[in-house]
Amino acid sequence: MSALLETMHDAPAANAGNASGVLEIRGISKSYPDRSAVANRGNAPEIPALLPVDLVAEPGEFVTIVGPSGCGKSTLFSIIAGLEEPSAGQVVIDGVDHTAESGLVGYMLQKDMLLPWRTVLNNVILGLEIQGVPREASVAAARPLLERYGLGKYEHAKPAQLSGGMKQRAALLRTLLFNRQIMLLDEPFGALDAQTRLQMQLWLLDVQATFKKTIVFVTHDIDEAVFLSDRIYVMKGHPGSVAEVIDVDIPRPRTADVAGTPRFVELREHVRRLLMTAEEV
Amino acid sequence: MSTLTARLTTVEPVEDTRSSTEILQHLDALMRPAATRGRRLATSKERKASPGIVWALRCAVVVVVIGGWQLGTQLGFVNAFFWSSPVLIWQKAITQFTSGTLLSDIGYTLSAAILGFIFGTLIGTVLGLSFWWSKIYLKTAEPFVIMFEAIPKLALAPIIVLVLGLGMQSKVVLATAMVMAVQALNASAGVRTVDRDIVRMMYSLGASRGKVFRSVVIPSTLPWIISGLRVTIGLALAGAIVGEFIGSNHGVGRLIVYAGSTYDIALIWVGVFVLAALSVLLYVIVGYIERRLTHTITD
Repeated sequence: MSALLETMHDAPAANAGNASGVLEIRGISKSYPDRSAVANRGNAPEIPALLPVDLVAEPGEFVTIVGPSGCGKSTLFSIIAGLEEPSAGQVVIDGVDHTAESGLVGYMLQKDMLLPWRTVLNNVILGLEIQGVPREASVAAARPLLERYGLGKYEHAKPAQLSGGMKQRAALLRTLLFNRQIMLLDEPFGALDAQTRLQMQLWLLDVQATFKKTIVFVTHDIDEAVFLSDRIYVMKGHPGSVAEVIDVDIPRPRTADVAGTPRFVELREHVRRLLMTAEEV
Repeated sequence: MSTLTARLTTVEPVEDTRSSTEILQHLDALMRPAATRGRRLATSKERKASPGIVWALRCAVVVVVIGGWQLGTQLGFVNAFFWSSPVLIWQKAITQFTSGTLLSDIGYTLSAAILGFIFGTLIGTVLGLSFWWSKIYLKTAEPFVIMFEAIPKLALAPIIVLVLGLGMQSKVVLATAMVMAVQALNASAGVRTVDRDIVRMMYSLGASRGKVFRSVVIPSTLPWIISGLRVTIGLALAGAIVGEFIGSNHGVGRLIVYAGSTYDIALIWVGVFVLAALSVLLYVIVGYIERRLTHTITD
């Protein structure tokens, strides 16, 4: 395992310095011009989609956002990833304001978005290729990870030949190999069946324990949120805002059996009640 | 639950007192009586077309048409002056291939069509792909491209031949124009289908626009271009021939026009059959290239 970590560090990825991976969201909000208000052009009222949100993720922390559809989770993620500009607020990474700058955090969506014409190997090193890492170094870093996470035999396969779980693993490896301290995962397991999903969650916990990434995770699944997280931000919708922040004090390492413990059930019910009230509004 | 029923009653004020079972029974009474057995699948004999039979039938069609034609001219049902006859056409073809200019004409027409096909594919692809770079440019240029696609390019033939002369250039340009318009639209349709989430993912990895273009836009547009090739090779041939019709010193098209002006009906038919054979040949070759390209891209 330490050999693996060394491989990761040997790869001269663009992770300048010893970035620790603190993510701070300071008062990020977003509103869109009201398209239905055609009458008074030039002075179109703004519809708030996301009220100011504050969020902190410490190095190596697993933070999850849960909330109903339309609570602005994905907007918030786009803003953190630098793909969209916030109406107000700042995205601060390791103490530096990086609002509206892309390429600084790993970002993964529910869709695997593997390029169908590339092999699995060429897909997972895409981020390194973009960052100008020499191919040999990228391949040297990717091979052991593919091997370790059950994709070794498939490195020359096309994504279409993989199962759903394997595709998501490949997509997550691409995000991991991009080698940023902060990873944003937007419902990465949302499209998987229950069995594969549990395997992927356990796998993600393993990856997290190995690489100590700061992970911000979005999900609809309350069990998944409680199972994986150190802290849960429960959001409510229309407009999106944070309803409550819950610390998950279940000790790590966690196994699938955690789901039966009283503390797990208690936290799960607490989140469920919060979400029920959030949905009603 | 109570809100749901309230909403339902506002939509449908007439109160239905029947139970759910009664509603279904009512529907049952309205339906056609159930058949005693369901529709059966076609038997394997009906579904399979044995290749032997198909080929035999095809040959039979050719024999009947050509034989009927020949017989008709000999018995006087068909006027041999206007329609010629298979035997005369065959004799004409042999003299043309052995002593005439037919072979060099074929070479001329093929060269013009293939050059036009290559230029048209390249220019059309580049044009269609370029639309990815700017929304304003796309919106401005698109109606013109569609307009150019819609007008019959063959109507431009007289102008092109006048401007570029009787040589091969005018034929190549006409063939290029035919191919280019179709492939530009194909490529721009391909550009439109580029997955926006994949583009976002590329940007999140810090990619430049050029990198997204090279690694995502071009590979996802290529299948659109490739699937257009078999259609556009036919268009290229048509462009070259019409160019020759308007004015040329060589080519199968010119041969047909010349034969028509001298009432040499058998020679017209020779030209037509040669063109038919050429287009089949080109179609088969391009189909082969298409499969090979698709294979390299998807595999």
